[in-house]
Amino acid sequence: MAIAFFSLPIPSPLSAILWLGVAIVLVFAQTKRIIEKIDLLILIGITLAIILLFPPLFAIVKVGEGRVGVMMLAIFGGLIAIAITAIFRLIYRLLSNFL
Amino acid sequence: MQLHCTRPGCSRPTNFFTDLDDPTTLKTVPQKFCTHCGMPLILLGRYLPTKLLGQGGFGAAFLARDRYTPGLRQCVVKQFQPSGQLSSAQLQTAQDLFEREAEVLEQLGSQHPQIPDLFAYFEVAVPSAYKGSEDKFFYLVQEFIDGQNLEEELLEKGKFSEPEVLEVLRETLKVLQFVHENGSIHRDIKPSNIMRHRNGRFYLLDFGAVKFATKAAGGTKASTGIYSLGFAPPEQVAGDEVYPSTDLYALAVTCVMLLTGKHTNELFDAYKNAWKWQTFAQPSFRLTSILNRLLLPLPGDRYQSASEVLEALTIQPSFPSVPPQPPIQPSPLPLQQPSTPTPTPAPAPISMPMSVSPAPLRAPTFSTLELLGNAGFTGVEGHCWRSLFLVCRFLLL
Repeated sequence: MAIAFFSLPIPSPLSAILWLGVAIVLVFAQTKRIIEKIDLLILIGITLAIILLFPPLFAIVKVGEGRVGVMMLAIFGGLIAIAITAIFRLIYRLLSNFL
Repeated sequence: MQLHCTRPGCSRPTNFFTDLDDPTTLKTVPQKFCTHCGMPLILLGRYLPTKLLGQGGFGAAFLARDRYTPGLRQCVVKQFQPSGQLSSAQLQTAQDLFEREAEVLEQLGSQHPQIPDLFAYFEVAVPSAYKGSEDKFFYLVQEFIDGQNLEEELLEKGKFSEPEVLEVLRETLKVLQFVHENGSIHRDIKPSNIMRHRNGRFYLLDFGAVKFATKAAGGTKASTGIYSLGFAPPEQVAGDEVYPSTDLYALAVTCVMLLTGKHTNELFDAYKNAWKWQTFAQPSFRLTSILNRLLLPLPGDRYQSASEVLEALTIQPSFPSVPPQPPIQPSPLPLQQPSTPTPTPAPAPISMPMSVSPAPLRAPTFSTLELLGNAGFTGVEGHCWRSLFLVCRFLLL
């Protein structure tokens, strides 16, 4: 999603705002359980499909070559986010046990 | 047929009568006596105690059969049998309590499907075994609940899952709500007094310590000192007035015990005078806060009635942006459940997605797995760090 926005031929402040807005909506929707489980996978599928089908959307990606780079970025993005969340969850658990 | 003698001191209580295996003899025989002590075995002419179910501080409970029902209905015969040396005043109190149990069972049992019915309450006078005097015995006959109490189930299972505990909590609260609305306080809620019938329905047992809240209003309000250590809240242990929230406290202790599979003295930190059950189990945020509120030492700080807790357990807040969702999982009705011993409803987080209790519980709860899944999604979609990096670079330049 971010890749697509930043690849668009629009000024980058605008794409940043767009990205922030959509990301906030997505996070909010998750916390309210408006989207959950299978919805998440569907959304990922749709996004990837759109990006991979329109080469201009991933023009910004410099890692790897083209589509492979997009996939790599997506997967690593997911893994890193999971790792960060796990660490914070762990800290939260430890703190709530001690306090 | 085997009959069990109900005389407290009988040293060989098991009696065998082969002639009673014949249904006509069984229905017509006037009386049978214990071959050892001479105690009449057929109580009130119809109840035949067959085995000892258990013995408590208050008396003994026998499994019995009613010979005047076509199917020889099973029932429980409780005998008033105070143990130890009691003063005559204490004996009187104990006997009053036994009588009150019968009264309450008669009043509530017939009206509520999850409280056993009372079949009979009577007194039997028999000649004493050794002296020439006469002994008086008090009996109470009630419906037999064929199943396992939660203490036994806990021993078997180790610990209960959150959905199971929620089911126990909801079902017991419904019964308690009824009991409280009828002006009584149970005062002895604990796992061994909650029974799961084979059909999955929960029953509340043992009204031996019950108290009429309304009747006591004029006279003495103090509790009688009958309670189970570990389950009774401070006000009951101290012998002060008891409230509906006294029962709710004991129910919360029960739930915590089921959740953790630990004994109450492991869950209570006597040094800090506080509960520390959360070190052993971490249920959803909502259940945790409800239980913690029920476990507060001051009765006034707890939920004030069973219906308040039920409300906190089920309220679905209205979201202006989201159309009201159909209930994802209806609250489990005990009657509809199949005969499986452990009906497991959908995982807790799904069954109570956004329900929020009035004040402090705003956050919807996520299990760790869900949280990580969501994080992964956000990472893939949002590409946070990369985008943030781009945003920062833009802002700096």
